[in-house]
Order: sequence, then structure tokens, then C-alpha cells
Amino acid sequence: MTDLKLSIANDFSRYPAGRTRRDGEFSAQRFREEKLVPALKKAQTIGGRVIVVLDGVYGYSSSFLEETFGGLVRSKLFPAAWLRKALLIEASDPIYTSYKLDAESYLQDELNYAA
Amino acid sequence: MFPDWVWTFLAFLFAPVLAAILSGYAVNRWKVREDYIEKRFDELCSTILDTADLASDYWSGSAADEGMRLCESKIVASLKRIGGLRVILSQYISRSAHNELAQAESALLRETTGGNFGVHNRQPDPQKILSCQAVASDCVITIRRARMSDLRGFRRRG
Repeated sequence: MTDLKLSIANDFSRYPAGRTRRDGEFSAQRFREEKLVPALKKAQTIGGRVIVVLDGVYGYSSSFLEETFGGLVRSKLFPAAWLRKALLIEASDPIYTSYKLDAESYLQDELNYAA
Repeated sequence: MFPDWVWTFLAFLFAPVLAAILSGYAVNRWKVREDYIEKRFDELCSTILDTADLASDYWSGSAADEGMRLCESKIVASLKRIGGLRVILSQYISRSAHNELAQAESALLRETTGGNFGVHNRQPDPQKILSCQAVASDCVITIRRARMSDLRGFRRRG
């Protein structure tokens, strides 16, 4: 299975903040629409997975993570069952463990709600 | 130069004195290490409570109020500092204690920076003012409890 890595720090911004585009230049909505959704579409085509890497960012707000991962499920662009297998969240630096737990919890909550 | 009995006496004393010096050194090393860990725990708890205060200030105002962007940055930076302290402590605490700390930190992250955090038209949220303080207190209790369990020796470090 081909894995596509998407690093928020390297592929988007080291300073992500806000939910919608009106909240700032590097908002969750922009990341989701311009980076995450295209990567997932590509993964769907090639039958792979997308690994979102949280490392390297100066810090996250919980609202950014909720809008990114919870918002992705709510957008209903991809089947919930497929997202459960195809979207992974990774944090190799232990400082980002709590952000990873938070992001996974938002994703799982929305996936369970959608199922 | 000295009578024989002096040499015999000194030889008799050598082993206990050496043992006393070595054990004193070891106890001192252990004490310094434990003090260092305790200070980091205190620093972690103090940072958590400071973050909760910052977050309560933030949620008591609206997005249009002066200094809110700065307050936002301070909260996010403070949360990262909490993560950093947890990582520093992770080498001195048990794995289960570390997992509990990470869970508590995640709950704090969600409460302080969830909801409308960073949203351009955010309004004051009295509920968040209370919940940030409550979650921070829970977080401190979790940390102290995990530390006490480790000290009682129920868990293996590392």
C-alpha cells in the first residue's frame, strides 16, 4: 500500500491557526481544502493511505485540529469507512503526542457519528 | 614511624570509611536527581495553572478586544511548553504515568483552545472560563497522583 506523507509544517505552514479562511492565512479550512482533500483524492485513486505528520509546527490549537479532521468527515467528500483506514495521523516527536491524541479523538468522534 | 597497632587500626577503619563516603555520594546523587524531578513537576503544574489563567482571560473577551491575538499566541506557546516539560519528565516516570499525563494534557489543550479559539468573530464564553480552570485542576491532580504512584513504587520507571 502506497503511503502519501503530508507534513503540516513542511507542506503548509509552521504557524497554522484558525478554523475558516476568514480567521487567518493558514487556517484549517485552507489546509483541508488545498492540501488534505487533494492528497486523499490521490490516495483514493492509487489505493493508498495519507499520513498527516504533525511534527515541526510551533503549536496547534484544538480548534484547528477539529476543523481539519472533524471538518473533513463532516464535509462527506469521502466514505467514513474508507477514511478510517486511509487517513493516519503521525507525530514522531513526543512533544506532539497530546496534539495527536486530540486530532485522533476528533476524527474518531466524527467517524463514529457518521457511521 | 608509627607503631604497628596504628596501622592495624587504620586498616580496620579504611573499609567502613570508604563505604560511608561512597554511600553518601550515592544518596546525594539520588537526592539531587529526585529534587530535579520534583522541581520539573512543580514547574509543569505551575505552567498548567498559568495557562488556564491565560485561557480564562482569553475566553472572557471577544475576538475584537485588544491583545487577543497576543493572548492566543501565549496560550499556544504555553501549551507547547507543557508538552516539552512532559517529554523531559518522561525519562524519569513510568510509561503509564506518562500516558496519563499526555491524556490530561490533551484534555487541557481541547478545553483551552477548542471551540471558537482563533475564530475572527468569537464572542466571550463564560462556560469556557470555568471549564479551563476545572480541567487545569484535574490535570494537576492527575500529575500529582501519577507522581505519587511512581514514588510508592507500584510502577516501573522508563
